[in-house]
Amino acid sequence: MTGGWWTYAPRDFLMFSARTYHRLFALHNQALWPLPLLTHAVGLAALAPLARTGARVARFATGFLAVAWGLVAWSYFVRDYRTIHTFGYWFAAAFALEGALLAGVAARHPARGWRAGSIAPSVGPWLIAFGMLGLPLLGPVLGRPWWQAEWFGSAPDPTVTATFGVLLVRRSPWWLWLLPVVWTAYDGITLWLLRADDALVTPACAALALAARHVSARSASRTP
Amino acid sequence: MAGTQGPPDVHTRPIPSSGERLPIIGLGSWITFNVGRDVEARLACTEVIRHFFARGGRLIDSSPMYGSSQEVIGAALRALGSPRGVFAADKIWSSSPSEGPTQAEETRRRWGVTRLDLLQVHNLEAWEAHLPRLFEMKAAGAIRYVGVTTSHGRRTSETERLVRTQPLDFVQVTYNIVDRELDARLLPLARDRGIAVIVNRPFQEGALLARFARRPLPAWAREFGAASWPQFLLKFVVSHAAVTCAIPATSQPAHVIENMDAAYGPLPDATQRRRMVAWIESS
Repeated sequence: MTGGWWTYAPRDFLMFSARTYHRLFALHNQALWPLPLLTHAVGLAALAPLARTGARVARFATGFLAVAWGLVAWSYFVRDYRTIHTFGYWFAAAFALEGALLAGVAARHPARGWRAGSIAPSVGPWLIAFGMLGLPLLGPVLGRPWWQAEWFGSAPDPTVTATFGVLLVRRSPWWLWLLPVVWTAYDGITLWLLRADDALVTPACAALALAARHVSARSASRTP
Repeated sequence: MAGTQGPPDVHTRPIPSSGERLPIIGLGSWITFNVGRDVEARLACTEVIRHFFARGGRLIDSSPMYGSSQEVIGAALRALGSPRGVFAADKIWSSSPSEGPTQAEETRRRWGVTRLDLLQVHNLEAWEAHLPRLFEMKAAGAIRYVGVTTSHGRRTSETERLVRTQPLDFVQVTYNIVDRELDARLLPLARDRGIAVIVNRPFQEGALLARFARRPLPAWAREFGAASWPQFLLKFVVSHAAVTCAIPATSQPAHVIENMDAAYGPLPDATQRRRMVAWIESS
């Protein structure tokens, strides 16, 4: 499908109901359990040190993120999401590409920190904490069953949100931000069309991360 | 897959190009049947289709654009023993002219039927390439009817042009008690041209049901047998002389029973239709 694309509205690409979407996470967790919990726990252990040591351990954290994006590409998009979305494989490819880019950055680029006083290294750990601890609890807080919870390393939103945190801490190249930002925009539109209460959460995280990056970058460029 | 089943008193309308009669309520599958591998949800879809046939339904509509819907319909039909009366309506959704026949065959395989009854060009997507192939397939007996679809009032003038110039059997459009723009030209044109009309989004994707859910049904709705808002809205649509059938979508067995009940009993006449519109517009 490409011809006549201008006649389609966002709602035309909403392919599933809210019930189907949220039940997909329950089926995903059930089929892979305890892998989602395991990836989440390992993720916490891998990313938590960033809050104390900053960019010095960011290389390891970036490498771990690369694995997490690859896991989401396979376990969520290829295995489950494509069963309810015609373009599921495209999303899988995008997540695998971001994983490869993160792996390349972890392997070749030494982590760069921000100048003292920048807000990016302060905001980053909060976004990591929210992605790892807040987002999995958000569904149950909003009334969804806990077994539909979304976990880091097996569901996209906690993984992407924690990624914003790592990208902030380690002062990352702009092209590493592209796919996470595009995902949060798509995710926000989808949840908004599904009339979900948490539709703006991940776009707000992306906006916060971009703002922190912008302010820190401007501050760095003004340094003599 | 021709044939009839279900209660004999269900309202039917003829397909002008053949005279074959279809019940005035069909079954859509957009969103509602795209449930992936969810076993529980698939069972609910099978129940919806079982009740649909039990109440005299025949036409089920789907598309390659609807995710797993085709597979879910096919699994349900197999579970129900391949009911004889099913009228399989599906679509070609591709910008590639060469992909049409392959997609049609894949669709037929997913449905698990010997042949599809109706193939439509989805949202007029590359219709210039697909329509000639569909007419060839019809001539060869691979399908029985050819149509085009649009929704949400898009590409109306182009649809009108096709209705005027192409030997279509069906045209599928969006029409409901609020979105009545097609009253003026396209619906009368389809009737004059002898083209069957399938109506999608009769509830405006559920918005109309949500809008009136807490309001009591007017007492005079009983005059034409409407006992609920879905029946009120469906009876408005299918009482249009040009409309062959409406295809509300649902994943709830109780809702398909309620929808199918709109295919029974009296339908509103022209005076009652005007009263329905006036009431809705004043609400």
